[in-house]
Amino acid sequence: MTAPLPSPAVEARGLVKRFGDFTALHGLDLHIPRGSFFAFLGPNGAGKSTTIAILTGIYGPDAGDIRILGMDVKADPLGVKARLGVVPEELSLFERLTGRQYLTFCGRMYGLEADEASARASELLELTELTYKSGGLVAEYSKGMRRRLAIAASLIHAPELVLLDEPFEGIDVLAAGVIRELLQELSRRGVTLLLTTHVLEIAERLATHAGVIKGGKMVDQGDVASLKARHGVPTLEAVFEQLIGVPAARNAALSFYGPRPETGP
Amino acid sequence: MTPRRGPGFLEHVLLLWKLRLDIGLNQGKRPSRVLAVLSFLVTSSPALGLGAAFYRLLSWGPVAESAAWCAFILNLSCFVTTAVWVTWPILSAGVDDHSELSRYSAFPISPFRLLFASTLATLAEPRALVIYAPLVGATLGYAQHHPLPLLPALLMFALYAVHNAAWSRVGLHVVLNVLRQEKSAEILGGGFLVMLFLASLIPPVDTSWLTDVGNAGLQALGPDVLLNAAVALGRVPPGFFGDGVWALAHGAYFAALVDGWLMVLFTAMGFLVAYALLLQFHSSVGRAGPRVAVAADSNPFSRKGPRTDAMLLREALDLWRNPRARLLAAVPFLLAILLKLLSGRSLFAWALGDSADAWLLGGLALYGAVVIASTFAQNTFAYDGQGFAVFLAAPMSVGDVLKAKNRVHAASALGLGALVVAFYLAYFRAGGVREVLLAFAAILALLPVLLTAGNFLSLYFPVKFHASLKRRDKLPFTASMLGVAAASVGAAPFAWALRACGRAGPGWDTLGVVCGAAVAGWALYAATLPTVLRLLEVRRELVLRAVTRD
Repeated sequence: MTAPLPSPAVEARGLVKRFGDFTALHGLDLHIPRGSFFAFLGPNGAGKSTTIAILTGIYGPDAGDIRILGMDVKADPLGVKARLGVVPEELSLFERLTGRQYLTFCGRMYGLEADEASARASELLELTELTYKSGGLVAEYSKGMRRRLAIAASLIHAPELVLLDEPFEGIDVLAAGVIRELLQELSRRGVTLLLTTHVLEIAERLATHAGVIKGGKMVDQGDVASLKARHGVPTLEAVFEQLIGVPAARNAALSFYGPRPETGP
Repeated sequence: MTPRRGPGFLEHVLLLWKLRLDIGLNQGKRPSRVLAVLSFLVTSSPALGLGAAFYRLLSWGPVAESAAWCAFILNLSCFVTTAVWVTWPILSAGVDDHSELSRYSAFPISPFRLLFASTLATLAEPRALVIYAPLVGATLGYAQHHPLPLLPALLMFALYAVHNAAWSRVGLHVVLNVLRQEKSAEILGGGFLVMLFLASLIPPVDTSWLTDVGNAGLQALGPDVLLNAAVALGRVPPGFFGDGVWALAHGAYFAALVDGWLMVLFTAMGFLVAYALLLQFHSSVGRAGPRVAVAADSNPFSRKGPRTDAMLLREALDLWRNPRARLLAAVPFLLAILLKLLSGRSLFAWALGDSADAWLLGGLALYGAVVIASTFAQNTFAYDGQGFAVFLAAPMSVGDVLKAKNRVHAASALGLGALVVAFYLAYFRAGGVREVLLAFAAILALLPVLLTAGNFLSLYFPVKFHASLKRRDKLPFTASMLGVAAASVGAAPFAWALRACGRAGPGWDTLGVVCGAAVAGWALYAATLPTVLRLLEVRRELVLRAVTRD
């Protein structure tokens, strides 16, 4: 007798989300296997952040079903949240707390005892190389430091699934390196990761699975190797370009610069 | 991995209260707990005086022995306390932490518990000490002569405080929902007209007793007037506490129980309405703030004209589309309507004689000018965000941007003052040429002081504001206090000149004094502007970092 297959980390079917007259998601399907590193790709406004907001319970879908880690999100939203870590694109940190206070507060909100929350905060500050700034106010942190702190906060309760919305946006190479290593370590430990990013090189390097969303619909998803094979291209970037198309702006005239030169540099 | 059990309700309340305490203690550039505690003591010090004054009033023999006076003062204190507590977050146009569901969205806490726990946590804020002090003092003073059973009285007080907290959420969430609507200006305007219509249906309050008191002193005030007022105040939700205290003191326990249950009922109603409005707020919008419907071919910047015109137009549009500006602009008109509904003008006429309209007209117009000018001029780059970087990168002087902001803020404040004056004249059918001219002169005397102070505050206390209302925006305490001081200095010539003419009404000499102050104020503004522009060049990077922070 074989053991039953574990339920997927995320299984969403037919997600629809409307904001007034605007429909952000048109029946989106999403399948993320457990333990995978899933790159969620798409142009701006495609619906990535809305999908994450629905997965994290900020918005309720107008239609569709979601199961996260085998649990029905509608039936047990708090049970799901207790096993989920989230790093939103817009970081709403408490500016007037120190980094250590912030992490400890987050741990307490997840039900950790005070001493355990404090110990984990110290370890995460060390891991994200923020120990030297742990007594400073979050308001004084740089963008990269705030991003690392948000990632640390998302891990304090040892979640099984972590959703990261644009964690590499607007940060320097060093901070990006720290985050990249941290994500690889989490992946090695079997944590499922969902990452949205516009930096396709990073997705190429880290992801085991990927999905491309366009206009609120998932246009293709699967493991990275089968995606490349299906589209007959060698890179994830090429898959993305094939599915999304070349932006029209590249053909813009720039007429106010004068006539277009015959050959470029 | 087995997920942990989340914190219990009381633990959540304590966590959120501790969070507020830590944030409060970390105020200032270098967190200094001693300074934070001192600041708390200074801000809450009026509580002591207010509490003591009301304690003495209710324990003073003639008042304590009069059932009518005791009931009237207690119930009136309840009404005023509730009114202040409920309108405080609306008037300050602030967004409290609880309304930022997105900030807590990751945590395993239900939105309703978050709302409830966060609302309870607000009751332990410093402002609670000041706002509740008069009522606490009055109740203790009353208990001096009319012993109260301790536990039921404490329970009644707790119910009353939670009731107020719930309805303050309702008020705040109504405003937030309206402001996030695409047509918030139309909704505010429509609501305003409906309110005007409804107000016209309410018969005016009989104020003949004021004339009697004016002629023959307080002894002319019959007990019926006080008793009727006390009973009326005790029959609306804020008065249930005062009514309940009176019942407890007289051993009418069933009546007290009914008051208590009514408070529970209205509190539950308040929380449910607040919760529904909160969910509406978070479900009806995407990530952006209020959308502005503009025809695709409409582009005001495509008009011909110098660059200065484009800058002025941008500032004006920015202000026009700012939901906080819309809310603040509505406040003086609402105050005027309340004033008429409560026959407040009669009270002023009784107290100030022929100067009453000058005080009211000037006061309301000044208030309108202050809310616009001080809110937007004292942190003038706040809403620009990354736009400030665009100004710095453009081949132009950033000083020109500041001057454009000053001109737009001054014009807006003057414009709002003019609207308030016109509204007062039409609505009250009172006030003459001298009162109108004095109001305009008062605004012109106020504006240069506000702009000058605002320019310095914008350079030394820059903070990023969020036009979408998604975040809590708070100026540093010192900056707020300096802003209040500037507004007081700016309004002082008006108050001083009008006070000097007593009950006789303003003369042309009064107008002359205020006009003189206005000339001096603008001279001060012109004299300090070069320094401000020089400092702006020096501090531009600091300002940029502050207003572009995530």
